[in-house]
Amino acid sequence: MIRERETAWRLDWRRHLVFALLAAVFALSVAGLAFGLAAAVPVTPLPQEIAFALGLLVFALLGNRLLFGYGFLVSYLQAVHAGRTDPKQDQRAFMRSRAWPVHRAGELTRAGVALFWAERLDPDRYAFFGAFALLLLVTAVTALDPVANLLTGGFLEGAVWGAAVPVFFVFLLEALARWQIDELLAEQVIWADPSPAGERS
Amino acid sequence: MYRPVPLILIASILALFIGWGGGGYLAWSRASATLAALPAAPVVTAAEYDREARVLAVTLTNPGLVPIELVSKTLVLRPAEGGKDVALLDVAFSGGSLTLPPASLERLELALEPGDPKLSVGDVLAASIAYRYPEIADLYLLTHSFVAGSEDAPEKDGADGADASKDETPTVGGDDAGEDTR
Repeated sequence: MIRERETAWRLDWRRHLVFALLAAVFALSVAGLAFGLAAAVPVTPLPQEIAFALGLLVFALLGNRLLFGYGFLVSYLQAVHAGRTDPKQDQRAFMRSRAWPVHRAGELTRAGVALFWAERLDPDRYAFFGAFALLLLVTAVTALDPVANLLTGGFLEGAVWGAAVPVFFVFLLEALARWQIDELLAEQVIWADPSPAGERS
Repeated sequence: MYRPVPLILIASILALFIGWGGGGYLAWSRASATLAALPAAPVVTAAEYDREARVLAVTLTNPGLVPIELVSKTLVLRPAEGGKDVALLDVAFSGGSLTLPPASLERLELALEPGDPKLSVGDVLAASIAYRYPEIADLYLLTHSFVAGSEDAPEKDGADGADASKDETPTVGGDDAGEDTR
């Protein structure tokens, strides 16, 4: 049965085609939106808007590793939940989780691999949220002083709102990954080895 | 199938908050930039006549965020009973022009010459101020009609409290200083 599922997943090229088409449509719409906006707004951007864009850009770059790391982790865990992982995918997840200096391939469960993977991303997450917290702190402190507020001119606030967008996505993906790992752990721990003292016995 | 319902709720609230805040910030900065670029007309908030010094003091405000350049001032006296309008003063400001900074309040003193006729009750003193904006080529005219009351002109007895009928009419391009007294 597992074999059938794997072959079915591998041979389903229509699925890849649909995803490729969707990606093309998405890219086209984003490009069209950008060009449409560029054509519709002939005025020069305000300094506040530039501050917003800079905050968004800088934090998107800073959180790039996290966005892709948690994104791949979430997609792997989704595949695990759906029961459509193949050995190649598991192997890639094991490589990405950086568990191989400690464990051999096949030694860990998928939940264990996911835990290693999430833990590997923790320092980056700490630095990312730390940078955002520092930006927030500087903005709040300068907003307290009228003179300093006049000097910064509300540009720091724009940078904060721009930075809040990638921060939101990182937070969301990380929380989703943790939710999935907890779900997987509960599934494996409870269902694999039901404890006699537990409620389900 | 798992459904992270609390996560979806929290993410929705956060997304609403961030969209509201960021969109509000962008809209506010665009709106304030637009408002700051709009020129505002100067407004006369007070006018009083000093009988001893023979000076009409006009308080002008610039309610907008574009500086207003006052170019020249004109003073016209229209007698209450018959007679012709008398132009008393028509000069440029010292230094060429006077600038009303954004969101400011300035007191402008228009002095009568020693040879000018004396005010009597009911006389209208029309103060016209020509002004222009930094990036607009046109010249605008503000006319404030001051009606002399009994305390301004004690030479004759008058019972009407004419101070209440002060009138200001900003007009564009025309000189109607002595025509409209309502």
